[in-house]
Amino acid sequence: MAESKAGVAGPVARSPIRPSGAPVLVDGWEHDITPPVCAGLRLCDLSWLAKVSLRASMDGATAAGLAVGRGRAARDAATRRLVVGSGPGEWMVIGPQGQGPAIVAELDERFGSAGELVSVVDLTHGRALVRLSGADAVVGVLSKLCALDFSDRAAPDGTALRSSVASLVTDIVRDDLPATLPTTAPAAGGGPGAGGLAGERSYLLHCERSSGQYLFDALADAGRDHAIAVYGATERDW
Amino acid sequence: MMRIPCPYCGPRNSSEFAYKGESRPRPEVGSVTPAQWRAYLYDHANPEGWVAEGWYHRAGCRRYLKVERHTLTNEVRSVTPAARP
Ligand SMILES: [Zn+2]
Repeated sequence: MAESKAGVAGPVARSPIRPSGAPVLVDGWEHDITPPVCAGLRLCDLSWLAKVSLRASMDGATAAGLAVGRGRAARDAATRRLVVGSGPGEWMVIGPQGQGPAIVAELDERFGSAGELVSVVDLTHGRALVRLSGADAVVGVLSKLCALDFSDRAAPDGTALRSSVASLVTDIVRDDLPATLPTTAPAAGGGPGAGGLAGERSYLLHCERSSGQYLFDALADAGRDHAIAVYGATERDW
Repeated sequence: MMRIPCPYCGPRNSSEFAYKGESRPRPEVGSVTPAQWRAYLYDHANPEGWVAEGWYHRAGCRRYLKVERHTLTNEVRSVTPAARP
């Protein structure tokens, strides 16, 4: 993705979550660039990722075409997009920054003529999205705020859930990070670490934009016992 | 604490749901009398025993569900999706 940091006079878009340091403008979005102070439990804001909601019949042609079942999430390696089956007849496509309109156009073209009612809405500016990562401590943090079972058996990598987190309706997607940092672009055929090393436990959480700061603060507060680090998202985080 | 096994989401705390009341046939809006409409809205049978109720999974799948619940023990014996409009 091209990252031009100049050429825009003021912020076009801003996350509902306050950056922990002076933000940097990246393609019209304010980004927090605070580096993580530790490699353990970490929390970052990813609200600038593109988020497109798709609603259709839960067992029609669109559902079959998306091929992501309810309660599951699958990443497309080529486009880096995450397709989340967030509910019955409800999907969310999360993609790199700025791709909202392109994803909408693509989904419209793919499913708009399938003969069933499909609604595609760009929710990029309507939802707050954060990532919580870091080994097993993450489960302890989530368990303080949510009653669900986050064990590997009940909710392995690629699980999508909607529940109450800190009394707030929140979508939770288990989206583990690759075991090793990709050097530059992911190499064809898998880079180092593709040979079976387990990834790092990580979750994406998203909620209504107006509740984003509350969710972020609730997670940061719950993670205080584990010395949670709040930082600006890096390339590895999406 | 009461748990409701949602057919879409699995067992969830009842606090994730909104209670919609006892399920019963809705009178025909065009011909209903005010007294009948009042009875439909407010006069509940409230039995001691099994009752069919509507619940809305507010913090989950956002679907309306038909729940059979025992009013004395809060045991839930069946949860099915409510008929689609
Ligand atoms: Zn549900």
